[in-house]
Amino acid sequence: MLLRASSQHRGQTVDLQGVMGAADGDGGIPHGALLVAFAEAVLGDDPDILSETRQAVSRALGEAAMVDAAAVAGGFNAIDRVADATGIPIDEERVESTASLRQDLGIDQFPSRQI
Amino acid sequence: MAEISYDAALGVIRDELISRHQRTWRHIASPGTWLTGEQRVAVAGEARHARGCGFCQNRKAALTPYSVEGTHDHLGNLPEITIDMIHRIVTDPARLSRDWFQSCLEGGLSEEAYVETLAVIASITAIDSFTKALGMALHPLPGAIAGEPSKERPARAGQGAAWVSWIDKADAVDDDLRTFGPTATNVRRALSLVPSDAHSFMDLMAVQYLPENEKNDLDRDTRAIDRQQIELIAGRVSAINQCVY
Repeated sequence: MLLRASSQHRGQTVDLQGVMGAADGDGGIPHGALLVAFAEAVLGDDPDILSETRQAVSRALGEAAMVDAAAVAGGFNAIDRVADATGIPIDEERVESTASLRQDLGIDQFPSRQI
Repeated sequence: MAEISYDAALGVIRDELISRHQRTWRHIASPGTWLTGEQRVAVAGEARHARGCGFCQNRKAALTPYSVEGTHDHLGNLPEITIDMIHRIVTDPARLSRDWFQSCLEGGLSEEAYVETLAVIASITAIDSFTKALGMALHPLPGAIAGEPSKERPARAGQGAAWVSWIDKADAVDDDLRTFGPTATNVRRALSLVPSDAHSFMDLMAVQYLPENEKNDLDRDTRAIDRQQIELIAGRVSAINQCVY
């Protein structure tokens, strides 16, 4: 996850709990709460919620942004499956640098870390 | 073969997205390295069908997937072991294990067919999730293109740190360098046992997420959402999927 790295690089403070759907408001990212809601709706089962959030993203950020947000969500829904089904480890150079982040966000409690 | 189209989309879709999705569709339909075009299209169809499998939903809700007995709701076009593989990856990817992977091999799947099947699952997941996000109907599956799989295992592939064999960064040469070379992350070489599918999938990710040469350039914004917004969506999706990587 490059959210922390990109934010640090740009000297911005963001609430990384946004990744867990638990940030306060937008978490320091413009329209962060709305984009999180859109990602959740794309992976969810409710077409009405998806339609509402899609329209809200288009109104707030524009249609091109909605399309790019949809593309990223779709892409990572696939990448996650490649990672989980091939059993790849976290890249060596990221193991140490992301240890505290994974601990703080509860990522180390995910089932694939326990199996 | 009919091209997939985004003419019905509400927003304007980038040309590179349309053309890459069309190329991916043709790639799914074509004879692969270990599977025929017909088998690859069957995998794509089963991956779609798995999303509504009642047995998988019961398994997903259980403390362990092995505590639930039943049979998959499936299309009947693939061997049982392949059907179970597809359904588990589609519906419960966070609880896959090395033991489960080994059981797929012991059940008759070759390591190469496993990787190629996974590549097809991943490709159709990326495109279907995108069209769903846009509120569009799923594209009709492509018609299979006749021909035989090449059955060429890369000589440089071997066992590394993943469950599956791969081409290590030190062993990537020629065309493989761009995808699996020294600067590549593990996810880029995860499918490298079947190079043509690995390249195709990562080319798809380059237009849906970011090209590799832009991924580590944190100053650059080339999309209609900025880098933090991209990474927030990526991170949230991975957290929902409970993917540690």
